[in-house]
Amino acid sequence: MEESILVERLKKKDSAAFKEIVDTWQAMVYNTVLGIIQNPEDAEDIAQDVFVQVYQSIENFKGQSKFSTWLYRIAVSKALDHLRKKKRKKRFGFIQSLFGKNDELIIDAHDFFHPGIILENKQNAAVLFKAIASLPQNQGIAFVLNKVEGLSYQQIGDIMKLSLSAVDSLLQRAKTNLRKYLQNYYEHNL
Amino acid sequence: MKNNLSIENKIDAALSSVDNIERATPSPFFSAKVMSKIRRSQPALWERWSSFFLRPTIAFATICLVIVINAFVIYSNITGSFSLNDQTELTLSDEYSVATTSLYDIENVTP
Repeated sequence: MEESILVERLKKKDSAAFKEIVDTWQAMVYNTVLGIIQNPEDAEDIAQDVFVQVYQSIENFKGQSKFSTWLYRIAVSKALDHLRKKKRKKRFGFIQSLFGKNDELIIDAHDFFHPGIILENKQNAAVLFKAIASLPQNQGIAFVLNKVEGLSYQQIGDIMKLSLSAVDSLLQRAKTNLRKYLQNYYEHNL
Repeated sequence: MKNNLSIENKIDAALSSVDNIERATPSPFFSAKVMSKIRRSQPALWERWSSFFLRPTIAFATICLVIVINAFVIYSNITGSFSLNDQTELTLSDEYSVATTSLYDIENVTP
């Protein structure tokens, strides 16, 4: 069904239309969130929250951009909120550890293996995802949207509200920083 | 030199490891879980009412309305009490001839 009709039906709280929206875009939202936060359980929870927000705030969607662009924006913003919360927890965990109460490790220390990567590339991709996690926020998002979600520069620009040249420069800087990280990593781990 | 070449190869391999990546998919009951979350997140009737009345404009309008009603009630009580007292006084004086009370009347009480 056409996107605009689905949106209009959702504005009238049509649950069948909502289910169709979830079924159509769930993989896109989940894959984006997973690429950013690198944790399958949390990614599923956040992807659900994205659709809950879509249901609750569909009136705010004015149709000035594509529905998928609006959806990507919500997904990216929710994923970033999650990372911020995690950072706060990590800081609090550090303070607790200073006082000798360190019950659990809050930050994931394990390697992240994206389920969409073929077996022979798993190990290399795990190192790359570590490198992505070390990137500045905007560079990391642009890289994930481009390489993991396979979006064009134009689509990334629409989602991040940037010009094409800004997206291009962001991705160039991301690649340079990734190379630096990987160089350092392999110098110590080869 | 050989080591540098090897590192360069590893870097290139890592960067190209996501080139043919497939989209990850969530668990099979994803949409059911979303629907359940929506049902849980919907506020109860009293919560919707309280959130409506806690909106600044509604709260301000309600306070203004209460003040106006109070002012009206107080004003009407003040003006109404005089007329009611006057009325009562007149009725009593008519019924018990209060206006004609004199020393003579008090001394000559008829049974």
